[in-house]
Amino acid sequence: MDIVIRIVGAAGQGVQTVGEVLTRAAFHSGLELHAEQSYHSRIRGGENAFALRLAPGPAWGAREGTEVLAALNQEMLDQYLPSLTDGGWLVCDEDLTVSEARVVRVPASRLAKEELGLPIAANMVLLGAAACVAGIEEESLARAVRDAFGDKAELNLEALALGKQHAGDPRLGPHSPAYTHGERMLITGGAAVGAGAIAAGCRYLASYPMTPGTAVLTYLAERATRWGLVVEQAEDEIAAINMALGAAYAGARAMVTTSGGGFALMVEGLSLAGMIETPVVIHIGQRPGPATGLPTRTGQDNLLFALHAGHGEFPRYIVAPRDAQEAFYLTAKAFDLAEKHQVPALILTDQYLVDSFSTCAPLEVTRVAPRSYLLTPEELEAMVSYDRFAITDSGVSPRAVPGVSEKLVLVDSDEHDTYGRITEDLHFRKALNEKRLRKAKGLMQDVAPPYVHPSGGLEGRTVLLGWGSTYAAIREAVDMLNAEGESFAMIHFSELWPLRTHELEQVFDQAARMIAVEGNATGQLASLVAQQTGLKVHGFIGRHDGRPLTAADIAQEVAR
Amino acid sequence: MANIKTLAKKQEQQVRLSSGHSLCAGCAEPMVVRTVLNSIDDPVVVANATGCLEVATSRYPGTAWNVPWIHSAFENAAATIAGVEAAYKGLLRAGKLERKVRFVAFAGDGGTYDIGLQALSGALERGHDFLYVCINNEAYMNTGVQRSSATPRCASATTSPVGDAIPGKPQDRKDLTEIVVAHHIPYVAQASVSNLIDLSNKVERAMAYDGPKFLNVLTTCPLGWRTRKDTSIPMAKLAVETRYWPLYEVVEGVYKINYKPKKHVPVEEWLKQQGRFRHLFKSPEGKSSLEEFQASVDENWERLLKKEQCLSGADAAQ
Repeated sequence: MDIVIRIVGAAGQGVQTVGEVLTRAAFHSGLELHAEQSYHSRIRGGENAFALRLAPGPAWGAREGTEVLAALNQEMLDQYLPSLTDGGWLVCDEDLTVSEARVVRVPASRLAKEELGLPIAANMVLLGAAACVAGIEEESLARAVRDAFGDKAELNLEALALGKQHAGDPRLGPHSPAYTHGERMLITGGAAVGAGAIAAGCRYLASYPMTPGTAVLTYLAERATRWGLVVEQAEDEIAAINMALGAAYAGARAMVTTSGGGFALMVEGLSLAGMIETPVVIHIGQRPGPATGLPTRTGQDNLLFALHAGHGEFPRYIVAPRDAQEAFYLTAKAFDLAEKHQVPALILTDQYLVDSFSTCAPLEVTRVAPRSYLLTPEELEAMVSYDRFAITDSGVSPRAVPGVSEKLVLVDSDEHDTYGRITEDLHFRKALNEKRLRKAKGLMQDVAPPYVHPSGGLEGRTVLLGWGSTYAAIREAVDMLNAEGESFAMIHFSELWPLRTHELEQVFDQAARMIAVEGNATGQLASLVAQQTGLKVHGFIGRHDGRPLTAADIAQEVAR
Repeated sequence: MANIKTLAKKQEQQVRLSSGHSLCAGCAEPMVVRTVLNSIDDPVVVANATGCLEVATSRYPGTAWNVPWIHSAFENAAATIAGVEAAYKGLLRAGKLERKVRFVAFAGDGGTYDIGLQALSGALERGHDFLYVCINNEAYMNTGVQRSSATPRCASATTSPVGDAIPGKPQDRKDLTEIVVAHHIPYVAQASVSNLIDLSNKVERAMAYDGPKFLNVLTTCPLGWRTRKDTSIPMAKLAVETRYWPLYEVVEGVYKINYKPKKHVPVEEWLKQQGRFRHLFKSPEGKSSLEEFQASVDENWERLLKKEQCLSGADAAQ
């Protein structure tokens, strides 16, 4: 059974807390899930929605439609009621007005006040009822509540019981477990980026708060002592990236996390990273711009910005993980390739990916164990002289940490000679510039091919081209469309730069029709593909209203 | 000079920031904004940095602002208002405008102490004729309580969390008021939302000067300070009474402490009511942190008294 439990209310009503408890309960029950959060940019009031999707197999992304709607206020009830599917159930407080027949009314506020003496627990009463209606196991729910509330769990457990009592029998379920303990883990995209950074040996994070990039900042700040990281909150993004570059110069694996607006302030520092060939990892949690835009919403409108940011010409590595699991591995890969090729590496996520929970196979830390690319003090001592920017075939010069030897490590933002001294000798300028740009070749060899589904025989098919977090929606759309007898396929990029064109050309060659699907208004990957290959897509499906693309959006547009 | 009646009357006469905004229950920010704007008689133009005030007052389908209002990117309120003021001066010079118009920038502590400091310093140094009001609630509240350089030592914030090894924020807050004083502008003051008449008087005195004016106003945030929603004003008052947040002004370089608490109230009284300092009351290390906190409050107060003594108008006249 594929069901969506949607909890809606105003900010400050505990939508997120309730949603997380329910998500953990479903996880404890062994159910595959995806949980998406959407909220207005404000501390109180406004719209707050938490959508937990339970699926029989690996859960896809978000979808429209609601099987259990738990509404905490009238405004959100009215807004979301139309999303209730046939056979769906509404759960709400008795004081809300509703004409829906399939409703479970619970006197949540009254019970919380009269029975528990704790008016704030009304949402937990409602959760008890909603979980019961949705057929979530009682024990799993109790465990999730104990984990979330610790010594304050008892009253909340009573609240759940009251809700369950009023709800009566489950209307949906039972759901058979898809896995047992230890086979799957539950993680958000933001946490996966943070965990990937720790696994990759990140030692330094400097950042400035900006939604949704902040999720990685708080994740790492909470774990800094345990994992031996230095986490600094800078006074702005200009300082943040330059602090990270300073740390990287001194040998620490360094990272910054931000969103498009903050990255705009980092651009000069990015160019500096290109010039001084100092590795840095930049996480950009995208949200719709321009300017402050929609601070708490999602979008994919920073691809071309990330690619073209920075004055001058220099190589860079850009990834856009498709889900939380990949966010872990690609963050680690970004650290590895930044070190290996001495380039800036950019990770493009978005609010949807950062805030969404999903189940995935346990992350394998050993698969991403950090490799050192630095000269050891002994190697450095053995050299007759040390030129930080020595000309090599690969373009990568041996990199040493300053202070470990008598030999100086000089780096300069001005054009420099191989030793790191300012030069306006145009011979040097050309040689050094070419050396830096040569690194793109080696980098390209480390880029994995795009994901193509199904894996062969694309002749005559309509192929959807996408990147990053839209993966699940496109994948689901393709399967949906194919179930109806149509022949669809997809090609999806998680590693975007350097852009692998070989597979693209093959797919373009075989496909009857190519349609780009992106979370923006102009088709940024489609433009990039055209620029790099001369191949133009035949159609474009874009969503840029701040909400994630869903399979239904795509299937509908394709059918048009 | 303002009194409670004149303040109330002005509030009746003109509503420059209306009700119906979505700031939290217990948030003291609108009181600061209303008092500041109602203490200026001329038409005003407001520039607003990103933050709680901005998002909660300007949301479709309404706006709480009854004055021309511009929101720019986070770090630029001072630069933006400087541009508006320069254009106004140009229009005056060209004879296209005759009315006196005043310019006010509102920004939080994040947008002032941290990311907006450079723009503020530049506008102060260039000498634009404007009033900059820092609504200081001591952290980035709008984005979920991250520490700022206005956050006091030991306070818990999501990016300076309390852990086994670290008791909240390890650094002292920046003394921004004194940094602004060092720009030698005509008027600089510290105020608190608990003392609105004092705030109103300060705005009136400030607006008598041409050139840059600066106010640093302490404002309780029940969410970030983890205080009760109905104690915002008493909490701000306690910050003043414990000498943690002295009310003083520097007028053309002359220091004046506007209020000297008669008795010494330990800063603990203020700290213990706030969830962000709760950990200090649970451990022996917390006790020594409290002592250090008190020592630093005392030291700052003594230093301020000395400044008043040395740099008072009376001394200058001698």
